[in-house]
Amino acid sequence: MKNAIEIKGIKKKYKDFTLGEIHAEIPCGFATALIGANGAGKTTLIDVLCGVTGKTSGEAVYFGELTEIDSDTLRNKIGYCSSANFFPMDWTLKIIANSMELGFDNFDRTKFAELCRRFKLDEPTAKKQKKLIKLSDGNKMRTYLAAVLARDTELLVLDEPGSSLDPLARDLLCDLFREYLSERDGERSILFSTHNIADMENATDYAIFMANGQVIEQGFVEDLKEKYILVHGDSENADKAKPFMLSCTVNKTSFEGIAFAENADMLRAFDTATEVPTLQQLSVGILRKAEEDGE
Amino acid sequence: MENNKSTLTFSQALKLYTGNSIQKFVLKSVPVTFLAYMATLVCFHILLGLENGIAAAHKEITESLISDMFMMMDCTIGIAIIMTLTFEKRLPGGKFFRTTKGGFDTYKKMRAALSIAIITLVVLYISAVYIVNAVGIFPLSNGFGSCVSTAIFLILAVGINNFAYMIKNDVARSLTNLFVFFVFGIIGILSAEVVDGSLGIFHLIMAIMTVGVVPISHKLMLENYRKNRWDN
Amino acid sequence: MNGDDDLKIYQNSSEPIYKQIATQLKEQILTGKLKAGDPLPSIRGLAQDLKISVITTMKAYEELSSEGLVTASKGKGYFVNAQDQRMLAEQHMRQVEKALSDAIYSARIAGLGLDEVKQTLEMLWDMDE
Repeated sequence: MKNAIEIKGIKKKYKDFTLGEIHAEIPCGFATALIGANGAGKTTLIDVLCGVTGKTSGEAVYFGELTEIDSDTLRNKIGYCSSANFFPMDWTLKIIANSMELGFDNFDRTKFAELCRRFKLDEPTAKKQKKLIKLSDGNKMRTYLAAVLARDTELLVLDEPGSSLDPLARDLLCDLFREYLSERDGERSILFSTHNIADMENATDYAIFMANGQVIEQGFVEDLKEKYILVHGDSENADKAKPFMLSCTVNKTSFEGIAFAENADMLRAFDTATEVPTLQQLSVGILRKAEEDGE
Repeated sequence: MENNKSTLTFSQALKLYTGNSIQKFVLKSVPVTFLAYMATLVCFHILLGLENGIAAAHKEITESLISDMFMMMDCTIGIAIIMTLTFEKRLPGGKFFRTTKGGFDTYKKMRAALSIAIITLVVLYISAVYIVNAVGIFPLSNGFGSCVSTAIFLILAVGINNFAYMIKNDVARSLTNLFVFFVFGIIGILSAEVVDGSLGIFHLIMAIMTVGVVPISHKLMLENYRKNRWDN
Repeated sequence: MNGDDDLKIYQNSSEPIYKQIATQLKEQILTGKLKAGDPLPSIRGLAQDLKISVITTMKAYEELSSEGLVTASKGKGYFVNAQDQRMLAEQHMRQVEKALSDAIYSARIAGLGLDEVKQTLEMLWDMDE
């Protein structure tokens, strides 16, 4: 399987935080979610991959052959977008269109106008232009998305795109992801970060979990759903079940948590029910374990 | 690491970062600064005129250094406002700019274009003030000499402020910029006054220094920025 | 495009979505609704229509492929294989025999006799109609 990005040992050292070494893959033709709590290093990793921040060491191989992010060929292929403050706040749609056209070779003004209409934003060619600062956070995000989707890119990299969107808009975002991937069947990929995967599960194919600047688990969602199981039981059996589980939450009457599927038989002996976890449940289990390990 | 070369022109780089080409920049800033100068003088005429009448006020303003000072001050404020433009990574747009074509080379071209725009602003503005002085509306006390001297020192100050750009704290940097412009601007006015408007060797030397300082400080500023603030 | 017009998936079902898709497509192939040589919808197109992730449709197709029902043609997508009806019938017969053997094994452990098992079978058969 081809990879859109192969991350080989990327490391970024800050005064009080170190990212890495990161070894991971962003498979080609799919939507990959970078899942982790705030401060896990998701934004730092994305910044390094897109050339926003320099790295301390390591390498990333893009599309199987390109390695230098500071090259126009690669910059044109990657559609990067952050979630807040992506453009200066006094910019209007008109200025955004002009700057996007100057900043990249593949910006399509017609497509931009279409997307603005579709996202219920103003016309980029209207006489009266509104500054970004006057828009709600949701509309700001829609503007950023319209700008980056109006480019003909091969890899979309979005840093927390869902954070300022309401559930309906997040659902729309999932549709946009599928549309993007479908347009160049198999040649386009998406990487997006989130600290809440709940309503973007249905557009996620591959997941990379991060905590404390490290990757703690990664894989295709369907494979992860076979590797782990969700376990429920009565609280009196919690202590017996815990050693076989990754992590679990116990309340007054019951407990629930994630375990490796290979421990299923063992766990069923403690009067538990097991089922296939959702990506959300998996995230909670895996990230909770990382948190407990880090203490 | 290979440094990416930008395919944009200087003016395009400026337009990418600010929405305005060099021409637009100059076209927007010169009239505004010039009108500010005219408005300042008119206000002062009225203020002083309240005491002794407009004619007396006019005499006082034009025969003293007041009009020269205002020429310098309004220009200074205009340039200082432009120089507050900054594109740090953490500010809105910071990340976007760092992912565009040409990377840091585009940034370098933008900075050069910005300096060109500022210097053009100074020259055109002071020319406009000179014309107003020459046709007798608001004469300056040292006419041509004052204009040239102020222009030289303000452009030199632009060069000195390139060094000040290395100050990381935004407020400290803006205040330093303003301070440097005022100090150099005053020296410009006073040095013309001292020789009654007939500029000589001193000003020639300062002009030559300016031509040297501006590009050198610009280059050093860019190197420092690249090392410490572009992609940290 | 054939096939995906009446695919229904239930998000909250206990059956994994890829299995729901595979089962429904399998039925369409076995009943002849999808004929030999027919193309399946592209995995990304189907994912878009059903509002699910690409990996899910891919897994569904891979399962069908491993059962010999479809074949992936490089660059062109998945196509329905000609189904050997007799071989399929044999395959299904084998599955029935295995399921019945498992049931008999469990019945013996539970101490059930043949009549009880037959009764249960009839009841379940009726319920399933």
